[in-house]
Amino acid sequence: MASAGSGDEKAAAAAMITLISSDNEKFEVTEATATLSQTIRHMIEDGCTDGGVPLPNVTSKILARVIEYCKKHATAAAGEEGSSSSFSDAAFLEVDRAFLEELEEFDDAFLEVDRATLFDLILAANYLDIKGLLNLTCQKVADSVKGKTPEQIREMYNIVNDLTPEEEAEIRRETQWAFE
Amino acid sequence: MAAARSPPGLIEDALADILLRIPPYEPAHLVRASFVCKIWRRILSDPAFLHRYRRFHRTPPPLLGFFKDVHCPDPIPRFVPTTAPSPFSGAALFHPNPWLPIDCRHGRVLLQHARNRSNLLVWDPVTGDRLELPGLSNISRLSAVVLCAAAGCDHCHCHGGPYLVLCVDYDSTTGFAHVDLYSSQVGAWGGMVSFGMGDMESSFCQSSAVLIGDEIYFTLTLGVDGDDTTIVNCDLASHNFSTISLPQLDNMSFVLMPTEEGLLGLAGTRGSSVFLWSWMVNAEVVTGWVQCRVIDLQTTLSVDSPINQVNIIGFAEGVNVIFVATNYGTFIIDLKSEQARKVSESMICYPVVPFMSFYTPDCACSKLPLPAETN
Repeated sequence: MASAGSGDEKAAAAAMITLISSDNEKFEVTEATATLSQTIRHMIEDGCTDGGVPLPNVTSKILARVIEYCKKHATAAAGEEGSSSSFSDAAFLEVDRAFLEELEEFDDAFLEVDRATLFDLILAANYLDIKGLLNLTCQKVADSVKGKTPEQIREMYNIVNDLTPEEEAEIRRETQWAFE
Repeated sequence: MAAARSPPGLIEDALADILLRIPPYEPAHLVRASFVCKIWRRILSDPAFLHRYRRFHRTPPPLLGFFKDVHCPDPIPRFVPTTAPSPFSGAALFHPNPWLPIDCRHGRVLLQHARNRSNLLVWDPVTGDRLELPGLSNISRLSAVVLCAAAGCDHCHCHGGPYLVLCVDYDSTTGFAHVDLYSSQVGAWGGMVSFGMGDMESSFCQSSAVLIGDEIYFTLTLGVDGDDTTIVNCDLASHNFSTISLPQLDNMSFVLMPTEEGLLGLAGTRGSSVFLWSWMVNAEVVTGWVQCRVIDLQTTLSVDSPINQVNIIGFAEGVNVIFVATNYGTFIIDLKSEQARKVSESMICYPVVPFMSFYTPDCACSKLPLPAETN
């Protein structure tokens, strides 16, 4: 598609896809934005997107955030492909760096959400197979877990300890060093 | 959606995606997470997940610590963890006396008996597996490497797999050096090649060896006073030997290492700086040592008072870290980021053997056996 030539690229950019959230809200997005999701990309390739793509696992609130992410990153991907010719190398590098910094700031701001939203974003990224979003959101949770005791992790994420006392004793015995 | 969503509410698939991203550099992170609840424990002890985890973090396996010699008066090897906490500390402290670690690669440590130097032992500290190799005859000084022998292995988790030990030794009665190869699959040594070093007053100084592609490099000290050190290159494919002279150094504290380009590299010192060289072999350009980088220790180590003693005592393959001992303590320096971290308050005088391996919850067991009965 996009790689076939500039004419096709424009056509792809112009093609619109309708995404339908679990609460039946419709979102019009460009194909370039939608295909950041591998799940939707496969649907498009299979020609199953006429009449919109129902996403029964994603609420409108979360889908709006997911689209926000995809739009920004689709623009970034297009910018990287198309902007080299009009700049000298140095200027191009400068623009490139500024763009990456902007993207990083966007990602940081994007992650400023409550935990429930963060987990819903992870579920959506997992279901829609959006690699960058999955990496971003999962890394945020993984970073919050590292260095914490099991008790702290449970408290932080409202997890019920369902290990039996025997199991706990066994793990403690095997891995006492990790709690020193 | 419910306000109090928590990881148990996530489908197992998405939870695995999160746990996958816990960094491997501190083994305790993953072990503690496996203690949270049943589902976390199930994922973190699932061999398929752990395989995916190691592949996700890919190579190189992280640095878990290093062995150093303590001389009092016999050398005693001690393991110094570089992670906190460490699975190899406290009750599980490595204490492989009287075996001295001489090399480590692909999760295995090669040790030499402190007194009976012909005896070598291969030890996997994570599983506790150890095997004393059949004795080599008349060896006093040697350089040796241990490496995984599994075809196509990514060395993330090759515990229990086949391995090779390559050993270069010098027989002072004949003036010949020999390369011997031990294969764990054959269970025996096979002599590969010998080369004469003439009538030179030569001594074979035990040194760490480095393996780059099919070539093994080690150092040889010649002359009565041991003042002439040269690098010997043994091409294992063609069985050719050649020698390479050293670049200009302040002292003989240097390490050989593979560069990122897969060439022979060397880290040495001049004043309070570490110099990195790479050996260029392209016939069209200059053959010789090309200085690639200088690391000013005064800045890198953030020390105000002058650093007047510097020794390079080790290199951790894969993670690209050098061990630098100074009068302000011993540091590890990441060659990529040039970030330094102190690993010992004292100046470690002898070469160290770094130990790198993944330590995932499936390895977690504090009862690591000693490699052999002491004495």
